[in-house]
Amino acid sequence: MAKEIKKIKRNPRFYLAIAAARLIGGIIQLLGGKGSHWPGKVALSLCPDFLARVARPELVLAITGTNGKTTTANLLADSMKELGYDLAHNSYGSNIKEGVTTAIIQSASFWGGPNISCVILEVDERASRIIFSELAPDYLIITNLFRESYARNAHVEFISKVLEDSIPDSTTLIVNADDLISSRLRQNNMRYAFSVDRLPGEEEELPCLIDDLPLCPVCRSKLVFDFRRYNHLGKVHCPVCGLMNLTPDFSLKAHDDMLRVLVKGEIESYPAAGETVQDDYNALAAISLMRVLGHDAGEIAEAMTGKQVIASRKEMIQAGEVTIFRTLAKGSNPIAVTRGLHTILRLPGTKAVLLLYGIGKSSSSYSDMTAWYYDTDFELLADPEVRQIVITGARMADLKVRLLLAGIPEEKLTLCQDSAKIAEAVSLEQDNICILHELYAESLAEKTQSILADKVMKERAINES
Amino acid sequence: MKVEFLYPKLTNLLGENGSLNLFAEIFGQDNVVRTCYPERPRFLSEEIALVFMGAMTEHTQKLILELLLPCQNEIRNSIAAGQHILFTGNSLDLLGEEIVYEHVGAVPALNLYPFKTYTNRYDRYNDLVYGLFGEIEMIGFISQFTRYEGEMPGFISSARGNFGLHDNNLFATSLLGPLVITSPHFSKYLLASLGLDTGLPHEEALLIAFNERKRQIKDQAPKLLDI
Repeated sequence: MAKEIKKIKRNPRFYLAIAAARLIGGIIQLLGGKGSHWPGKVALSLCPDFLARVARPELVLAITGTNGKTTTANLLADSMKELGYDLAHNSYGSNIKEGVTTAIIQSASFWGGPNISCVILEVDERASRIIFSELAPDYLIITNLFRESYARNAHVEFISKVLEDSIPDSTTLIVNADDLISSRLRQNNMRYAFSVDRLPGEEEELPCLIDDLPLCPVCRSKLVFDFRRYNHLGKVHCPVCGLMNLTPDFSLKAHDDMLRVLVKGEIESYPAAGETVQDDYNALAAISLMRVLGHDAGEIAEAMTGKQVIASRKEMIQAGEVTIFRTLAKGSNPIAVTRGLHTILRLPGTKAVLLLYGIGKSSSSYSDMTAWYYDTDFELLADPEVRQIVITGARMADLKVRLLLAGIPEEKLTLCQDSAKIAEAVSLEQDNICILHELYAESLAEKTQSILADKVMKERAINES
Repeated sequence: MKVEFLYPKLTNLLGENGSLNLFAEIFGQDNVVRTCYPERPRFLSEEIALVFMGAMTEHTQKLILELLLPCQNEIRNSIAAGQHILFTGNSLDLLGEEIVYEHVGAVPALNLYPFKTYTNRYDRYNDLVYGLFGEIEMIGFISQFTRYEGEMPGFISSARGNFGLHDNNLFATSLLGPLVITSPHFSKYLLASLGLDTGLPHEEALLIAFNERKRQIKDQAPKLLDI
């Protein structure tokens, strides 16, 4: 059970820390950096209990969960600014204690007093243990929980226990009713639930490799899925003890030109933030929190208008007849990569797929653990419309083994030793060229997408002439 | 020739789907026995060539121990009779005297070997091990919050010490990979000991991946190769 958090008085160390953090932040900004990590790191090195001493904004909103944290936090922050909130936000993805501390410094006055009234914090699940012990969120969105980042997070039971032990009693939860793991956390806390109904075109049960909820968490019987969206997300019940999903307060009924959300018996309409069901979950989580904060549907819909999943996460370029699609799916996260593969496969026509993993420093290390490959549904790439798969990076040999075991014919695979030249290895004959990449390969993915678009257009010009 | 996967829906953590995948390809889907919770292990009553169990959550450890403890003597006799068994990840823990969970206390294990397992959730340890089983080169990953005290008949010797236990045809190690994929030389040995000398599926690719990883160890952490 999380303890009540008490504010500690400020001391000279605190003032030194905030001054040093502001100086570092200023220097980084002058040099053109984002400065999301270092000011917090400096502050914490000088004053380890900084968060317990700094002025707490009136409203602390946090977002955690395996997938969708950054997108949900960005949508929420962008929309709440439109609603008139003066807020700080760790928007550049540093979601461990240092990044959260930087955001809190931004929300405080020069010497750490109250200034900005609201802060939105994206919080890493594991880091919640050290962050929430000093800074209790008023509201916490938990998007979902899946196995990922095995070296840090082990498995879902481990990370659920971390959150169960970390979330303060006073925090109101906004949970995903379709996830019977995360929605059952901290059962005595006040909570609101959101859910996405089965949408047109969705299969009754999407085949998938892993299921983090193989047994009923109450009686250990086999659960029955009435609808399995993917992995353990869906509508489920236990035939023995009767456990089932929470009744949602906010239920997405349809996604046509708008998101149609059932709230207290009335359908409300909101602009969508993207095309995929993951985008719908993220938007619905943000909508739910804003509704809980007391905003009405009309003002939220207006505030959300034009807010989309940021371009650095996915982008589609049309080069003549060829669609060149790029999407981020974090490495070591089998669900995110599998969802990325599903998104790619939905594109009509033939495809070349580029997998940019093993590019960053940690995944290039001799000790990089590739266990997550075997929880990722790479079998999807055996689809006959996928004509070429191009792999590169330090883990290329391991990935080739995984793809062969997934039933992909060797002749479909192209191995590219030099990641920077991956565009040269791609067959331009396809209707779609799709780049799925890890976070650390973002700039390589953007560059490759742009090179491929140029190549396609040049080839088209030659053919036309 | 059959392979039995013990509780595969519960013991497929940390990449062990890969082991299931490889074994299914080797033995053929028709020869795979998937024993589901809460069934009794089939190898105790019928002919099974190889028994495999992978990594699981700490709660699952307790559930499986509840099932296996009544079969303690049968499992002991089966090992003594030469049953081929491969346990990876924390399924190794089940074979010792007890598992001590921090803040929860000790849970009796199968007591087949004189060691105890201690878990500490926030003391997570990740690394890679290059080791030898006799002359056979092996590579596996450490990703655990457990430590062992006591004695195990040695399995894999490495610059970081011994990993796991080997007794008759029982092989158990906390190392991950999936181990049968990251250690293809051992996988070939294991299958050959069952009379399957046909080689591994995708053997060339498996060996290339092994050699590439070994080259990276040599470049980045050469001391690991000093055994």
